[in-house]
This record gives sequence, C-alpha cells and structure tokens, in this order.
Amino acid sequence: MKRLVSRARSNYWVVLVVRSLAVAFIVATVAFSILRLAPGDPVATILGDQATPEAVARLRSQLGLDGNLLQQYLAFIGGLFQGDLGVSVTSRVPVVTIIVNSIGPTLALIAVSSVIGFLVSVPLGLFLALRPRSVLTKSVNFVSTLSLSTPGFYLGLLALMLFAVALGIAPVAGYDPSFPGMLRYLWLPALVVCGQLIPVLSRVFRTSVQRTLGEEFTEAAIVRGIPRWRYYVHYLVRPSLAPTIALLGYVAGQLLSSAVMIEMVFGFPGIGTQLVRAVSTRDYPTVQGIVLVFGVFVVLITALSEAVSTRIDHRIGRETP
Amino acid sequence: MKARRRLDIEFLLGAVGLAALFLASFLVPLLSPFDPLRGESSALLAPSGEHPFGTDNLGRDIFVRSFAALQLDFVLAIIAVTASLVIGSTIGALMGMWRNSWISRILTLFVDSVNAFPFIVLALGIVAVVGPSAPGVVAAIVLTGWARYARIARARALVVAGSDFVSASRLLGFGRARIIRRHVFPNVYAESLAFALSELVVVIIMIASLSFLGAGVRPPTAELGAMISEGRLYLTTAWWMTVIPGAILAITALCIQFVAEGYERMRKDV
Amino acid sequence: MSDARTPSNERPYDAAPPWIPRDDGILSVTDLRVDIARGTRVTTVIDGATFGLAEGGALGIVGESGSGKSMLSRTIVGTISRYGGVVRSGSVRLFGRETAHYRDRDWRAIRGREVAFVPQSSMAGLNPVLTVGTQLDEVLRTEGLTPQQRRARAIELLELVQIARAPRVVDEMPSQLSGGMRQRVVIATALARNPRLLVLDEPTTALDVTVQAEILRLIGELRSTLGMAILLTSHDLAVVEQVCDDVMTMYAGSVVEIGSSDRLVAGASHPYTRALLSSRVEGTPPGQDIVTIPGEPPTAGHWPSGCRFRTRCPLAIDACAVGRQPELRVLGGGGSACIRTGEAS
Repeated sequence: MKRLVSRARSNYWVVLVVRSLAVAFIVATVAFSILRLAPGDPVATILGDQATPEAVARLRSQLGLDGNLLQQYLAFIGGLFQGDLGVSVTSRVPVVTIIVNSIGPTLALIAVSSVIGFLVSVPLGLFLALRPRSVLTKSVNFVSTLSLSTPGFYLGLLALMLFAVALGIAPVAGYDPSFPGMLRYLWLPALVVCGQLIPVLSRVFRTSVQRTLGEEFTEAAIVRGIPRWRYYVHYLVRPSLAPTIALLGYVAGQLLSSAVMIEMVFGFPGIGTQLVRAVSTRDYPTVQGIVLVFGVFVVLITALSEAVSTRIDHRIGRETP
Repeated sequence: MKARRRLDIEFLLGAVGLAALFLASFLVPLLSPFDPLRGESSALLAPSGEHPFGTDNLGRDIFVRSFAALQLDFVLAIIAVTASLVIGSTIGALMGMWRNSWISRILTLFVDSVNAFPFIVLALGIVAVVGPSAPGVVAAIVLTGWARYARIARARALVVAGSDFVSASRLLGFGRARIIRRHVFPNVYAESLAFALSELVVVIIMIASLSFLGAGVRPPTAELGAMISEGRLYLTTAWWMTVIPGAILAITALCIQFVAEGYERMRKDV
Repeated sequence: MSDARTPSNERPYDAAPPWIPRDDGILSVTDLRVDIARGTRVTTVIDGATFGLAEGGALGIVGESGSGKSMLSRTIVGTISRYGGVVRSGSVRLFGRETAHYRDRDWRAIRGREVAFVPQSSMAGLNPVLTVGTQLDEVLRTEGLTPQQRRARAIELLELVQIARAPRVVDEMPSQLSGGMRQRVVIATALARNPRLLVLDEPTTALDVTVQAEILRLIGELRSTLGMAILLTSHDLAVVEQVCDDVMTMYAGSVVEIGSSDRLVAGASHPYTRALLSSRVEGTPPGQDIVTIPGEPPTAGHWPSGCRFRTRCPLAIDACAVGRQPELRVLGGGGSACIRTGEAS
C-alpha cells in the first residue's frame, strides 16, 4: 500500500488531478463561507421583521441555512455532487438553470476574445522581443500602458459612444444567440476585451521569447544559417509557447473579470450580468453558485494549461506540480 | 546615455502629474464654491467658465465632484493596498519560514485558490454579503488581493530562509522569531513594495469598477466609477458626465503606472 | 599524447609558426578589442588579442571564466551582438574577409557553409521542440537535395559522428538522447555542409569524463578525415592538448601565451600557463597536494593595473604593476606576455 501511495505521489498526472481537486474543493468552501460569514441574518434582511415563522423557516431551508454549520456544509457538498446549487430567492428558478441559460453568451464572448487576442499577441510579443529599441516598440509599449490604465468599463463606454452612437455600426445592446447572428453583437465587446487582454498576453509572450533568445540553441541556429522565417516560427515562437500556455490560468482570471464588466456595459445577457443582478437583489444562492462556477472554471483552465504545456514542450520538467 | 534620459522623463512626468492630481484632489473640494454632494446649479450644463466640467443631472458641479471623488479613491486605494501588503506579506513570510509543515502546504493551496478567482467575481460575492459601501469595497479588495502579496512574500521568504546566512543564525542559537523579524521581513517587504506600487493602479480601477456596478460606494457620495455609471443614461445628451470622470481616472492611473514602471526600471538599472 | 594532432616537427617547414596571423590563413585576428555595452555601462572583455589559424590547423584557447575566451569564439562566428558585444578596434579576417564590422546580412552569406559552431551545453545546441532529423534536414535544405536524399545524408552524418542505430535516432527528440549523444548530434549539424572552420566553445564541459574523452577523439578523427580547421575553447588544458596543435592561454581579456602544444607540454613560459600546468590532476605526483592558483580571476571592468596576472603570480615584481598589460614577446617558438620571459628561472 505504501508503495502504491509513493508511486502515485511521484506520478505527475495523479498529483495534478489531486491538487486541482483540492483547489476546487477549497474554492467551493470559499464560496460556501462567503454567504455564511455575512453579518446579520440574511433571512431577516430579505423578509423584514414582519415575517411569519413559517416563512422564515421556509426561506431558511431554501437558502440552505437550516441546521448548524456542519450540517449546512455537508448538505452543500452533497448538493454539489448531485448538480444542485440551490434555488434563486428572487425567481424561484434553480441556480443551475440560471447558469446554464446565461453561460452561452459569456462563453461566446470569451472564445472570440481569446482567439483574436492570441492571434494578435503572439506576433506582437515576438516583435517586441526582437526589436526592443525600435520606435514602433516604444509606441506599442505606450499604448499598452495606456490601455492597462484605462478601466475596462470606461473603454467599453467610449467604444459604445464612438461605434454605436456616433457611427452606428454596432448595436447598442442585446444579443442574438444564433450563429452567425451573434457576431454582430459580439465584435465590439470582444474588441474591447481584447484591448485589455492583448497588452497582458503580448507582454507575457515577449518575456517568454526573450528567455528563449537567451538559450544557446537559438544562437546555434543562427550560426547554422537557418532561414529567417523558419527561425522565427520554429526556434522562437514554438519553444516560447509552452511557458505562455502555462500562465493561461492567470490570464483566464483576468479575462473573466474583464468579460463581466464588459457584459454590463454592453447589456450582454451573460452570466456576469446575472451575477450583478443577483448581488443587487441579495439573491444569495445565485451569487454563491455563480462564484463557485467561475472559480472552478479557472481551476480547470489552470490544470488544463499546465497539462498541455508539459505535453507540447518536453523541457518543462515533469516535476510534481 | 539616451536610455537613462528617457526613463527619467516618463518617471518625472508621472510623478509630477500624480503630485498635481493628489494636491488637486484635496484643494479643489476645499476651495471650490460648489458642494460636491448637493446640486445648486441647473442640471446638465455643458462645460463652461463657471463649471469647467459641466454639471450633472442633479445640478452638481462635476469639477468639484470629480476631485472629491479622486480624493476618496486615493484614500481608499492606499488603505486597501497597505492592508493587503501587510496582511499578505506577513502570511506569506510565515508560510515561507515554516515551509515543510502540513500547515504551510494547506495554506499554499488556499492561497492558490484565492488567486484562482477572477477578482470581480469574488469581490462581488463579498459585497453581496457586506453590502455596498466604502468599507465594503476596501474589505472586498483586501480579501481578494492579499493572496497575491502572500505568494510573492512566500517565494522571497523561501529564498531567505534557505540562505546560508539564516542557517548560520539558527546555528548560533537565535530564535526563529528574531530571525524573521530582523532578516526575513525587511527582505520580503522591499520587493513587495515595488509590487504594491504597480498594484495601486489596479486597485483604483477595481474600486471604480465595483462602484460602477453599484456594488461599491453608494450615491450621493462622489466616486469616479459611480459618476460614470450615473452618466450612462445621458450618454448622448451630456457626454461630459461620463467622459470626464473617466478621463481623470485614466490619467491618474497612467501617472501611477509611469511612476511604478519608472521606479522598476531604475531599480533594475543599478 | 593522442594522435589527434600534428606534432610540430612533422609540420611543413615554414619560417613563421602557424599561430601568427597571415593573410592566406583561414583566420587572422589582429589587436582585437571587444566591449560589451549594457545600457550605459561599457566593459572591455577582450583587450588586444592577436593570433592566426591556418587551413586545417587546430588552435585551442584556454582560460578561466572571465578570460574572454567565450566572447572570442563568438566574435569569430559573429554572434556577439546577442550579448551586447561590439568590436571596438582591431581586425578579424575570416577566409580573407574582414568581418569585424559585419552586420547580420553580411554574415548570412558565410554562415553555416564555411564556419560552424558547437556551443557548450549539450542540450543547448538543439531545439527541444524539433526532432533530430528535422534539425539536420533544415541545414541540408540549401544543398539542393531531394527529401529522401536529405534523410539519407542525415543518417550518414549521424553515423559519421559514431551514433549507433542512426536511422532510429533520426526521428527522436533531443530530450530522449543522452548528453553525449546530443553533443554528437550537434557536431553532426555543424558538419552538415562541410565547413572549413569548426568553432567549439567548451564542447565537453557539460559531459561526463568518459564521454568527454570519446567526443574529443571524435573531433580529432573528424578533423583528419574532413581536413577542417578547429578553434576550440576550454578551461581545461588537458582537453585542448588532446586535440589542438597550437595552444593559446587567455587571462583577463588578453592573450598571455601562445605556442605549439608540444612546446607547452615540455614547459611553458608564462607564469599563468605554468600554474595551469602544475595544477592539473594528471601532472601531480601521488601523495602531493594539487597545486592551485591562489585567488580568483578578476572580472571584466575590474582588471588590475599593469600585468593583470600580477596579483596571483609567484614571479611578480614591482615593475609588473606599472603601465599596461605586457605585449606578447616571441621567444623560442612561442609568445609570452610576461616581462620576465627569457630570464633564466
């Protein structure tokens, strides 16, 4: 038995999965505790002081607040395994349903932004690493800094003012779930999200390329006379991708934050809008559920990106994560 | 030679701009004839000599309001960053010193978990519970941000704790607490301070973002994000309600960014 | 003594020793000065190097870290700009062309074809995301061969560097090979286009001692088979002795001794080279402590005045601290940069 455990401990994949599960578990616990740590009694806040004992008991049970803390926790975890995240207090709709119905637009926004962001950041990062002193690099750096200093929602509002109101080439709000209709509503918000994503991603990639440039095999390749474009793609970009992908978890977190703000600015019916609505109406189960989903999503992305980067680059050591 | 001159210009620009804005945020509300909280003029006036930034829908002067809001943002941001720095670095340093115990390993997992959440989501969750308010915003930021400092501090503390210097001190019989106090902490804080400077920008934007969503500072208190949100309805009729507070926010953030980046570059150059 | 090098009494009669720079040599370096510019700081790393390499010759450069030997080999292959290096003055004539002020596009004409480079760390010469075969194939592309011919030639090259089961190795990734095999592959890629000059920077430092010997023997054999010239740097005198006809010692950015290997083994002139010789494990009689040179070599930018070795030199006198680094004095078939050369010791 001991040997099995020891073997399992040193197996990269096992450790990765176990660790991710542990983090996901803690994420769930954090989501759980947010609600329980509220000062005062949420039930009283929602129902006011004229509530009947039956109404109080019913709401308490709905919110999962009956019983002591341990019972609540066990019920919560149990519910998780059954795919039950509780019921919204404002709309009586199961939280899971709310999430499922609203996650589509958010995913679409994130997907489009990621694709564009990646396609731009990789060549941009390469350029920044290769020509650190050119005028273009300095201007790009300045624009990046500018973009990072501007709040996402402000950028979004300015974009709305310019493209939707003044120029009329983008819709002011709303969404079309069909494809390709959705693109009409997606392109501007995605662009704004990219405006926040590209400065970060291109700098990360630039650092990665700088590190690769410092490795001796790039020097050896230059002396060997490898043709320029082949050198760029196979000796700079490819070896630099893996370390960048490993950081995707962190970038995903930023991306999701951006997406939530942009959703609100553009009136996008995504999961971010649902979250804000739930917060303002004190719809605790929904808040709890959405926070949980977001957290677990990022954990998944982190684990996936770590796994992918080890596969595609044999250098990244198979050390225990 | 040329490189150094350019550095100084950026840093100088940022520092001067920041100082000017900081000063203005305290002087303008003091010296202006208008009350940031109460509307005394006609509503939705365009920028003019009397009202350089115009008035909002309740007749309040946006000029004085913007700087009062900036003042609030500065104060909240400094409090939030300081609290995150102290709490996070302390926890991180402790984690680094007791690196092999199971407590440290669990704490590491915990720190990673907190870092995993997208900021807005976790912050909104916290605000849902404590209610939208200025202290609420600070609490949300500190509770989501401490983990970042902890991670840096822990990495630094690990290095220091493993250093020969510390081993020698241990051998000489110095207690752990004393070593932490005199050697680990100073080392850890220095690097965390540089990070804190760059975090200042992020925090100010976070405060504004939360207020924009209605989950932060509540009206009628002046806050830049809240003002932008208030101006949304009048986007087409009174653009100055949204554009100007946002511009002030962006310029402030830019100045801090210049200072932080310049400082980081000068630190490395030596 | 290995059979890798040509003993000096067998070399064709020539008035000037092969390490003197000549116009018809493969490489001739005169008074080379190289600086590294990092931001506002400029540091000299090579100060007045002069030497030459003839067709088919083998010159070894020995020095501790900070001596400038690595920068020297990189100056010759033209990659010092990666490190912020720039040639301040002096001349570097490679195949008759003055390359000291070459830019990237000038280098592209001769890179890969006439001069090849083998870097220090065995992993570092190979791209970790491409197979061995792909990397060989890349170098062969300019030769105008069909894909099948290229593959055949790749296998041929691997066999030339004595890799067993070459057809299998061709499709493997660098991470799947051992250190010694990787170094052989790097050598194979360097040889792919029959270069006239092969520059190796500490080719065996990252390898086990047993593998080291094999690689050195391989280099010697390849040299005799293919007739190319070799420029090899190392901090280990033994390594250089095995393969090179002529040896040059560098200290703190300048050449302190140069001469044939035989002469060196018999007894060097410069105190530094002598100290290196006596600090070798092989040269120490059993039971005796291994002699080490006291102190540490100075880092670039912090060189002492006068002769840079004087702070660690057992023969130092007051005159050594005065003036600049001594010039090379040719005496008895070798050059030595010591003002006390020729004194009866």
